[in-house]
Amino acid sequence: MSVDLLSFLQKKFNFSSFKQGQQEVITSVMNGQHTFALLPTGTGKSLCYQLPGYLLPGTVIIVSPLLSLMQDQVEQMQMNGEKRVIALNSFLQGADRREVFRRLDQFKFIFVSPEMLQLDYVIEKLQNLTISLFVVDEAHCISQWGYEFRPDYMRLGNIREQLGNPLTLALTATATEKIAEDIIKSLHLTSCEKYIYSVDRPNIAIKVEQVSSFYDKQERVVELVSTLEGPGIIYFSSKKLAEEVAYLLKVRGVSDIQAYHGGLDQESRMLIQQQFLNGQLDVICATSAFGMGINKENVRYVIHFHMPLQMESYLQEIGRGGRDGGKSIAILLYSPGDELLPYQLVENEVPNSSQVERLGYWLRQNSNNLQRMEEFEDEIIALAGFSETQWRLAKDFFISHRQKQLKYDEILQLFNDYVDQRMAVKKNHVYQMKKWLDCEDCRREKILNYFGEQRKIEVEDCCDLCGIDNSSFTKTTCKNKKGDESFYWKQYLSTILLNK
Amino acid sequence: MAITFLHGVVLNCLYKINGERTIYSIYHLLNGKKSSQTIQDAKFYQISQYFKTFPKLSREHFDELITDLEREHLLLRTSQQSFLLTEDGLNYLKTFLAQHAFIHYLDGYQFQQDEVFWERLSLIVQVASNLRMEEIKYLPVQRNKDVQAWIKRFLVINNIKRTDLSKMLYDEMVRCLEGSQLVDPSLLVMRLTGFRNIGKTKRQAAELLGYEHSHYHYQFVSLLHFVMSEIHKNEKKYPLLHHLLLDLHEDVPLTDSARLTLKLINNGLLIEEIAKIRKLKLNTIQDHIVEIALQIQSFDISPYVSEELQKRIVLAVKKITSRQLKQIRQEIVDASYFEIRLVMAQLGDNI
Ligand SMILES: [Zn+2]
Repeated sequence: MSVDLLSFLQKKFNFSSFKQGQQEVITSVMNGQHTFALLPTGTGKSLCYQLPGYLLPGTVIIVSPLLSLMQDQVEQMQMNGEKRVIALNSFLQGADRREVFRRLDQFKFIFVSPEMLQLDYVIEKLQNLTISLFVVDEAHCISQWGYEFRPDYMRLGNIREQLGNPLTLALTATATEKIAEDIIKSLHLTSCEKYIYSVDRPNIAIKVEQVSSFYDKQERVVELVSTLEGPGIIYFSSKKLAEEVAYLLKVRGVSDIQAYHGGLDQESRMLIQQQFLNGQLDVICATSAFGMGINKENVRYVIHFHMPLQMESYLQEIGRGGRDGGKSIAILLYSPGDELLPYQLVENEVPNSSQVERLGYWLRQNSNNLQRMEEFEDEIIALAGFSETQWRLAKDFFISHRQKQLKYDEILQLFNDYVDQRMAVKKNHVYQMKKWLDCEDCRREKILNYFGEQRKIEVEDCCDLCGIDNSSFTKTTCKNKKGDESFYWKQYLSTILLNK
Repeated sequence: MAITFLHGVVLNCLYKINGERTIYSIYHLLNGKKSSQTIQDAKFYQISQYFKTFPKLSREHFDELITDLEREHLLLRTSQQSFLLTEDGLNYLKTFLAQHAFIHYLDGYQFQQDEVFWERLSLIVQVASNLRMEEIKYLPVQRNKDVQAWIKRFLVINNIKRTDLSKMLYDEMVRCLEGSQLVDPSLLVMRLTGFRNIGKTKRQAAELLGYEHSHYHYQFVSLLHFVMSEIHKNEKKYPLLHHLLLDLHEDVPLTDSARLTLKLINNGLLIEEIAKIRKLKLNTIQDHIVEIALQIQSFDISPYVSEELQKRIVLAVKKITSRQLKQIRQEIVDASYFEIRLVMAQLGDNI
């Protein structure tokens, strides 16, 4: 390889060095090898396709499963000065959409949702491009064993072929061995270089704390927030509790705190993220919606008020701590019976048998409308009583089976099996998570084992079972209370507009 | 349950409609429903200042407001969906209006595009602030693509030097906000974002200033309307800011459907012909004509109501001092509801 990757990194991205794994993955791609890469959260996965994108002629296509994440990535790239980037998803409508498709070849980076790839004319448009790299982000969504399985990801292997087998990079931050094999097989990658880096983040101490009641848990959070060195994130499974605990903490004198969740309007969400990044907020009480797009380097603790639904999300969330390489602590608060909530949440994500039955009734009545089921969204949701996630699961399934031209009873049978299988997988993930909470020797080792790794290094401040020196994480700086809290509007305007 | 500012607004509106419309006409008003009926009611009952001032109000929330007011004995139910104010209610309203003079700034009907205006204003401040510091890496506080595109065009067309831009913006904003006697400008200014200074969310601003949410909201919107009206009236004083308003001014706010009907009327078509062409009910076209008459002072209604009948209807309306069609109809039996509504629309607020 003739290009000096390091100097290109410095020149184009303004980083002084590669993070773990980046250089190896990029080199593999630049050598024209299909590549599978497992890079832990916080190691800059996106650089692995952005950098080759600039060096290779032609277009980079990035398949990404979450619309919000896609939007964040596009905005980040635009902020860094890249204009030739676009997201093809359901947000893109009307004249804008036609305009984008007309000049698609002028974009260097095209993010696309898997649902868009189900449309023939999108494929046709993409076929006209010179594709230098086909990236599958969050590749674990391809596997049925994964907690985030997306049926429309299963077709990516065929789509790759339709696009002429372009050079492919599959990226994920969480994948067990079984899932990694699944990904490579589903993408029809005959020869593939694998780069697997440990999911371990040695600078994050892992702690599980038992409390005896909900009340004690709240009190413990107050205590932790007032003693731990910030900034910190507290994760909740419900918007309502995120709000309530943020309020409680405020009442107890924690001033720089805010709740963040999907129920807020877009402007408020944006402002809270930016305030946190900018150091105007010290603590965020969040649902899992928080953190995907933001890169805050110096998060010192992540507290889980509820247990996550699976090990993969837990790892992703605690991985938002210590990105600067400094010490960070993850504390999960558990009180007896807490596992009931995730089981309940799982049941709200997957349709139950009576809902499937009602959907079957609709299918029988509307067998000619099978091909355009999503147009009857409101009707179906009302009839079956689906939650948003349940409907999405059903919709994804039916769209991805569209091409098979099945009769309604055949597809209903398949859907029945699918629903049972999803329920079993998800319940098993909760079960595994609970098992981990109950483990009696090193928690870090158990996490590594879960992802098919062995523990190789000794870590200082490893986990509560190996022993943690709490003083490493307690507040050192006594934050001096801001004296004058009054706000003078002319002064503020002058600060931001005249820099005075 | 404490009585919030929004309760007061609902009370005021219910007072104005005087039991002649259902409570849900107020729900549609606050949400800014663009239907002929809502717009006509807003004008007739002189509550158009509240139009679209609480968008995204849910029906459940609205029902709760009514229940609260009833429980507090400020409202009395007169039929399934109509209420009148009690003695306590009238007293409460009197104090409420006296204490919140800022409501004079509020003009929801004229400034229906206040949200876009705010998005532009907050984004241009952020852009100007960062331009001044030569910072190019920041995330825009407004994600609305149209607003972002608008700012880009604005900067290209006006080609103002980056240091001048922030200075002009500062001067014009201070000039404008200093004129606000009834609302503290801090309410708006603390929500602005600049270079390495991220603005407050509306909830944070309300908390910091110690206002209950809807009270903060109405002050913020009133201040926004004050700013928009000030700029609109004195374009020359605001060479930069008036650009933010230019294309936001809807001269004749008609629903799209009524606009099409107007076009066909101008082409010389009769009501029946329009109904046939558009495959709509005659009633619907009549609703459009009432809406048009309401919006366009110069619209000639004589093809639809004879001059003589117009005079009699005007007299009846003045005599009865009610907006209830039924009562007017009893007075003039040979007039149709359409004819009465049309004359009332033309009369507008001049009764
Ligand atoms: Zn350990």
